[in-house]
Amino acid sequence: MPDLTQHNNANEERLKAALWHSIGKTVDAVVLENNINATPQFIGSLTELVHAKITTAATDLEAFAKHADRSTINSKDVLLLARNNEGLEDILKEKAEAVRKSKK
Amino acid sequence: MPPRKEPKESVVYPSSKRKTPAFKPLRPSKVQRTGSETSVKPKSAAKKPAAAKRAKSVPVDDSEEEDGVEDLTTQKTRGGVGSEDEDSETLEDDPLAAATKSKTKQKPTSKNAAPRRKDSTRDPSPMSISSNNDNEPPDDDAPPTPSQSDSVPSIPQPLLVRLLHEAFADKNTKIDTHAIQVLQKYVEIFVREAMARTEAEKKEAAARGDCSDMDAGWLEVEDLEKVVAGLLLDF
Repeated sequence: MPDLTQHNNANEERLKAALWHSIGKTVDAVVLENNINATPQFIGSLTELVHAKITTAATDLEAFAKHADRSTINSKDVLLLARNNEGLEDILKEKAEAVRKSKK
Repeated sequence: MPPRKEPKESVVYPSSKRKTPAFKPLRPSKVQRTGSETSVKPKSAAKKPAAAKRAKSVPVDDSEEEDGVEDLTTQKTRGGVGSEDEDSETLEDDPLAAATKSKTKQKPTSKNAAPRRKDSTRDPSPMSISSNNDNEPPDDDAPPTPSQSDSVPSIPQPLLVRLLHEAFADKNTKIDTHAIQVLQKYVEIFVREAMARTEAEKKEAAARGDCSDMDAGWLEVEDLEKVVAGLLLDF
């Protein structure tokens, strides 16, 4: 099925391009804030890094939800993602709380 | 002589994790980050005067594929973020238009092949990815995190949902809207932490005298490489 793989590749590339665009904007904003510069290659590798991170995070989240006999990932699963980093977990907890309150 | 091995061992199953061809983005300086439509417009207009009336819509390179993608996405993300449809449309727009420009040049006939479908699917969404950032609700009681100002754009939710669904093994897996917002924060912190650590590494290198003054203010791949191991251990 060469068509299918080609399709997947093209699709993945488009998604990566979209991610690159988004990361680029974030990097630009941070760079302006801190009065530094970032090379385009830096943005490219950071995009690859984030893409890989999102992919592993997705499989992790899926596994967490499955383990709780759910098919929908909720914010507790995301908090579990940050279990190794106390500071990060605290930030995400506050964020989750804020989101929960704003939705009420 | 031993029996020959069956040829079935060489079967390769297509999967989403398959290695893709190298990702070669254009240099950011050559790409209009916002409103790349305007940069594309004159190109298509000059190339095909007959299509000038449709010049607003981004060149269609593989419209045959797109329909399948959109069906798939709407199926997959029914439980996810509502604006997913817009995303599959907006993916056509900015960076891709620039990244696949060469591709579209090779087959300009596809534009004529499916004009009707293009009009119906592309025209209603001139929205660019950047405008998706508005989806993020404002932080009501902002957490006292260091320098998390709202001026820094985060990854758009529809894009994040799409990337997640690409990676899910089970296509029935969904993600609720609260979780996606928290995950958005997670990714934003990841990016900012990567940059902060790289910057610190660069400063140290400059203090040691490992890099020239000209390079001192520039974050480079080499600096990222030095901090990436620690970064991934912490996330």
